[in-house]
Amino acid sequence: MKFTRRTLLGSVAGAAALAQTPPPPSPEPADQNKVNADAIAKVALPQSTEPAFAFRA
Amino acid sequence: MADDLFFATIPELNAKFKTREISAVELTKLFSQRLETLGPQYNALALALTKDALKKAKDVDADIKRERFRGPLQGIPFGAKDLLSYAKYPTTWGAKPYATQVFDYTATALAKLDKTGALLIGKLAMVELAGGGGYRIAGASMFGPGLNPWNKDYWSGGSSSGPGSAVAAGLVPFALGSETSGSIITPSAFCGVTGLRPTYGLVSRYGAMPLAWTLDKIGPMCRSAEDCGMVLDAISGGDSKDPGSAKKTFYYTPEYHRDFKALRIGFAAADFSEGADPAARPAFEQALSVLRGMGLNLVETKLPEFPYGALVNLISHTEGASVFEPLIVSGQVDELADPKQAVGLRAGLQIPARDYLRAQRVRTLVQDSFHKLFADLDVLVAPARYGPASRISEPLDAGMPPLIPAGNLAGLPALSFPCGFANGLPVALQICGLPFSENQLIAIAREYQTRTDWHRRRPPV
Repeated sequence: MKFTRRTLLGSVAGAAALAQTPPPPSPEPADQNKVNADAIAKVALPQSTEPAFAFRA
Repeated sequence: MADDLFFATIPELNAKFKTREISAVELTKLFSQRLETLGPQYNALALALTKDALKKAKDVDADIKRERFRGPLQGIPFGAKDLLSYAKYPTTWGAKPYATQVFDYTATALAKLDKTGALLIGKLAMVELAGGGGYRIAGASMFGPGLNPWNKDYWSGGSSSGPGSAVAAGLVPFALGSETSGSIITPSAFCGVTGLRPTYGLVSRYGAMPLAWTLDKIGPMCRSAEDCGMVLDAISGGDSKDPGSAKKTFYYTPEYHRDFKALRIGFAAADFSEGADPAARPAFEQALSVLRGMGLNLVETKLPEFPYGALVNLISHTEGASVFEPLIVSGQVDELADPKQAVGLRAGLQIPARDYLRAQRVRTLVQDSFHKLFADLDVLVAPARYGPASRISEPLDAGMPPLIPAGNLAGLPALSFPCGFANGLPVALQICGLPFSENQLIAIAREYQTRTDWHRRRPPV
């Protein structure tokens, strides 16, 4: 693969921009609990399903 | 010579006892001194128990002199995560509000080890409340951030941070850790030690800090898979004091494992390609070829589709908030080192019962799915973590392989063993099997460790 000065400069500038981007703020715990509950609510759940408290060998 | 001793496996230490090369008292003195000197350098030491251990070591030596052998752990020093109570000594749970807490009883796992003649030389540091509020920083502990012996700028992993650092740095031959979702597997992987998360209910949790009753497990963190087998043999078994006890016992029987050629090992290709840190991929690929070289039949598979992270977080946060309700209501929760933990615990009290119950019902489907998956497979393999430890200064937001929450939700045993390095730090594989299949997992990792020496590598202590 052949690199020109222009493509190299472009990739360096891109990397710098990425490095300067602050990480997205983590959601507040209450919001995260809601997000978790929403994700779980999407799982199809047969009415007869009982909660898991025992583990079978 | 001394360095070899600090990094010896349990059978190697046994051999030294047999040839009278060293006594239990001498070994205890050497390890205690090392733990007291170096432990604080990694923020790994919660409490030294040297005096108590030396007193017991004298009894062990007297037993050995009279040829009263109690098993392979007799005279072997060890450490325990400071979440296990040891009568009349402080048990802090790694959290300032509990800094002066003292119980008048000893955790069953520690009592069982005491019976074998193993010598508890220290309580080891941990993430406060085992991270029950959802910690986001390595410094979420009254002992400070767990520092990785391979490079102190990096995290040891949590929440069994002290056990990970202490075993890796040769401060104890083995340690007990605990896992709700990842707390044995992660520090074992990051520190380059071998860690075993047992089947839910196989090891009594009596005397251990509860975080999430339906998820908590106690397990060994050691130098080798074989050492894990020996320690698990000692600490497993039914206990009427633990309502979650499976009332089963584990006997370490390495000679009876199934022929590797008859085993089907499932792996998700994505875990080893786009999931894995690019720096760690060569080590993971190499590790898979070693497994193939052992005759294991590796087959591509996919985990059943469930929101594993959401399930484990919702269940552990609800149960954890209930456990720590007095701490939350009193306001002392604000004394925790990581403010996110306090916020997380408070939020946990607000989770509606319907969300918790739905999560537990979906968990039943998870367990059923894994039973079906294991009809065609014997073991699952995945990176223990996708890459090496993160820097101490970085927030803890690296994603974890879904096999960690999935295995914990289904109560499955898993074993993490080192398989190479990335950026100078250890990386590891995890293997996970059916409930009570620990002997099979240990046999695979044990064979892997006869073919590689990653578990023998020593950090620059």
